[in-house]
Amino acid sequence: MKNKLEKNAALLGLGAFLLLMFSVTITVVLPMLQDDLYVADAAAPVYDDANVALGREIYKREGCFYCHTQQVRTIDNDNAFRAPATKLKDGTVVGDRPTRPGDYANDNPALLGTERTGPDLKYVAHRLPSKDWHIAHLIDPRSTEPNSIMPSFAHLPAEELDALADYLLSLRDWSIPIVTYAKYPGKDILDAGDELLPEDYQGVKNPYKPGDPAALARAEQLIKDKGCLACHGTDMRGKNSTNGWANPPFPTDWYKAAEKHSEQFIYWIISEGTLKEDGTASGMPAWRQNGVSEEDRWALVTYIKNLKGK
Amino acid sequence: MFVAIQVPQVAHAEHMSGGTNDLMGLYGGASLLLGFGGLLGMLGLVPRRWRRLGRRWGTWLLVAGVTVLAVGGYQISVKGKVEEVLGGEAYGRMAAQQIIGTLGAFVLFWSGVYYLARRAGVLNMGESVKYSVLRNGDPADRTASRVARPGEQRLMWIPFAAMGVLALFFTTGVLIVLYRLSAAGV
Amino acid sequence: MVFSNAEGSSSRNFYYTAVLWMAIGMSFGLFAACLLIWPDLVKAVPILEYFTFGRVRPVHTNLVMFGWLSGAYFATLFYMVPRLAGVKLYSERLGNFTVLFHNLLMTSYGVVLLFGRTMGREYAEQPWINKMLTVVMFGLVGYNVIMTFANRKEKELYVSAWYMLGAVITTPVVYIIGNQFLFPNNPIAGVNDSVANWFYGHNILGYWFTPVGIGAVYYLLPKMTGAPVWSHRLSMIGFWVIFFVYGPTGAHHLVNGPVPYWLQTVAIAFSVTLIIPVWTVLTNFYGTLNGRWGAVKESVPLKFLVSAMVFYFITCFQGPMQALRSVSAITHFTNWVVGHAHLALLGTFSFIMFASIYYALPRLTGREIWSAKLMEWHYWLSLIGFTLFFVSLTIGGLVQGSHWALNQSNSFITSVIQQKPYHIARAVGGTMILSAQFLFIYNIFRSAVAGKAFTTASSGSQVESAAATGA
Repeated sequence: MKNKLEKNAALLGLGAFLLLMFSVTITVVLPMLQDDLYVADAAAPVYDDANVALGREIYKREGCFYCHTQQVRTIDNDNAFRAPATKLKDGTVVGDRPTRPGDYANDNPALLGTERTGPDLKYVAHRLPSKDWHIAHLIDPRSTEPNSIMPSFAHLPAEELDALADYLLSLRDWSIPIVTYAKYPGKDILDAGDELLPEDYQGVKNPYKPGDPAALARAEQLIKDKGCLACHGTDMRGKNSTNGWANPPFPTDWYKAAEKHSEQFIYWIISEGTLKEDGTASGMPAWRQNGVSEEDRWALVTYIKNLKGK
Repeated sequence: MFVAIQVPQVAHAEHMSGGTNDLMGLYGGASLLLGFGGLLGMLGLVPRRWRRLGRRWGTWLLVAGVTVLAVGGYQISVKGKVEEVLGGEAYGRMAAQQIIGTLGAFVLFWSGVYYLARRAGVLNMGESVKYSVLRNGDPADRTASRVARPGEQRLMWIPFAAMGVLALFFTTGVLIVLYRLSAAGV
Repeated sequence: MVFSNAEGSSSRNFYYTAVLWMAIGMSFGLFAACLLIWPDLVKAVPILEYFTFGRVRPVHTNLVMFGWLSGAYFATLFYMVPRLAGVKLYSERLGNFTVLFHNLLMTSYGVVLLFGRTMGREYAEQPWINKMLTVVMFGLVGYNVIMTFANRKEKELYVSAWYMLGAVITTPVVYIIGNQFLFPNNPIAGVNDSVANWFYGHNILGYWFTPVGIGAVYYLLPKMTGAPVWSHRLSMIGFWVIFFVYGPTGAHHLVNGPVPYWLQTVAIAFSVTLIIPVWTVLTNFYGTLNGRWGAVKESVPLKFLVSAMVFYFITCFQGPMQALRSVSAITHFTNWVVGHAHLALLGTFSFIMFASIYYALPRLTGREIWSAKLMEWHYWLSLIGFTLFFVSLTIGGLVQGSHWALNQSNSFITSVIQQKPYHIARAVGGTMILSAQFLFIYNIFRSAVAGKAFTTASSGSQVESAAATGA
């Protein structure tokens, strides 16, 4: 009788343990045997830069991953979070795809996230390439997006905010080179004119008539989707140091742009983004490289020019 | 050996979008109903009327359930359409291997446990053990010696209805969203 | 310091300290809920400004899971295992030492997280040293439980014994493996890190929270109805199915994500199978209560068990559904998942623990619960508050998911704006739940000093006399 007792309890324990081992083998060990889950691909971010690495630690420390994910799913629902489709010099097209295991090879811990109280950040640097924007947003999220429920991180020291911003800017598809072309002398873009236009932008014509309602409607949709007003202000009059933008160059007032600039100039800036005097990106995205088609960019131009005199 | 079957080969087709595998949900559901029904029948856990029928057909139902699962899984993974397929044919082979391997492991373990349990006499433990908790000297609550009054059985419908209502609520919610999405062409 | 060896003392002490952790952990939960409604709540407030949502949320999850629920589970093990085995607990002294250990460790858990020292993995945020100590703690409890069974007089193992034994054996293993084998520097990176994390995250539910909770139900139900469980054989099927099927489901947290397609499919398939164990439990539940439903009218613990079973059904109904890729596409990352998690840990397992406490404490202290009225308040306030809680989160989640699907995640901010009423409703529900728990805690601590005497079947050791009569 005693033998049976021992057998029962021991058998039970062994059975439960073996079943557990079965699942461990299939779901933990097997994936670890798959090469492609380890090898970093060209798109994977690298965190060698000390400031970026520090920023990642701060991101983890503050629990940002509880509200923000870093994975673009294999379904259409997540399309807006994909990196822009970009044709490289050798003709291959990168970007515009769900995330793959290779994108995370250097991530320890992987901060895939479990909830989207806020948007996905895996490729956020493509959508929001301005360091100033990120710092302003971290200090007071509601200054850049009035309806945000993200907490304020103003209590963090400036170096930490700087590191966090650098980290956020590293969240992009590293196989896509970041390029912007539009460079203007002086401090204020409003002072620059058509003399700066490169050759391929000189003769272009707006396919839409001024005030074309279809173009205006399309532009409104685009402005909402791409979040232009996050930088250019909900009143479209731009931002400066008094209302949430730390350092120049400042996002332009669209009304003034409508007065001062030609359609070609505006089209050029929207397409290529801008550089600062020292050659670094100002933060205005190159929408040609960020998934906005020609017609859509012209629709935006039509919209802005429509603000003239208002 | 089953590990060898499972380790993916040349095809790095591990990452694919969408896929029509939610058909698997239907297969899975059917298989569950068959399998579980079969199990209940085999063990005599059905109302008296069906007990003989259960004992006769129980094993067959169980086998049918597992078969539906296996065949369905094979059909989905090998023949089903997926959007981005890298190394197509090799993927098909790999998927088939993995389904078969997983099922093989499933069967091996269940049968192993079953065999060990039979040897240890655990399966013959009988229902008498369920009385042990009533006799263990830990005094029962007052409600344990309560006399049932007529009409109280109807209280059962409260949680039953709650389960039904909530299940309906969740299912409807999901279906509404899925329907709206397909209507919008998403 | 000499630890008491008095029979039942460690169980009682674990129950008392666990409910205190519940008060703290749930308060952090309400705090987090408020932060989502008033994001500038702590802005520019000295010291508090550091306690942003990202730091508060893990404090909540860690303290309710490991402080409250695990603490109550340890208490329940120390109460039920001796009675299932027919002998006294192997060592009350060790048990009481474990109570102290648990409280110190939980304090460390909370403080460490508030200071921002996190490992960045959900439910596995604790630094390596705390994880080691957690394994030690589970080990101490497991040792006590296993040794009690090793010396048992009760020759056959009732289903609750199976569940509890299975739980204490598998939990340390799940914990160690899922926490990267406790290597101090987290060597597994990338996607595999997530896979290991979710192996742990889901299986701590399947191999720790589920078995002890269900085991407790199988013990309490006969005690409250006077009827044996309807079918022991069926409960055994449920046991084996749970232990077999739960393991591979971890990757269902990563469906449609950057993990291998085959891994997702395995997880989905096994997740769908999880609908079976809940049937076995429910069949036994209804079967046992058959003809005895009147008892529910007169027993608050039984009311909690009935509600827990409904919520258990729902959570095990949702789970298989939301594991499917098409459903996951709209529920993943939304408030639906938050509702689902609470249905399991709060609606099911915490409710079961409330019933356990109302059952066990009078027998451990010799005093009846002080106020029947407060018990009723506890129940109804918890039930209504929690229903508001999970219903609002579920609807909110579907709203989020459908917005993202219809707009392909463009105009994301709209989904945030749309959540506001649901966040508010959830916070209202949460406030009701928390208030109910304060009433509960007051009631049971009052019982300790002012409760009427509880009469037992025999004087002295209940367990020993049962063994003496050869039960």
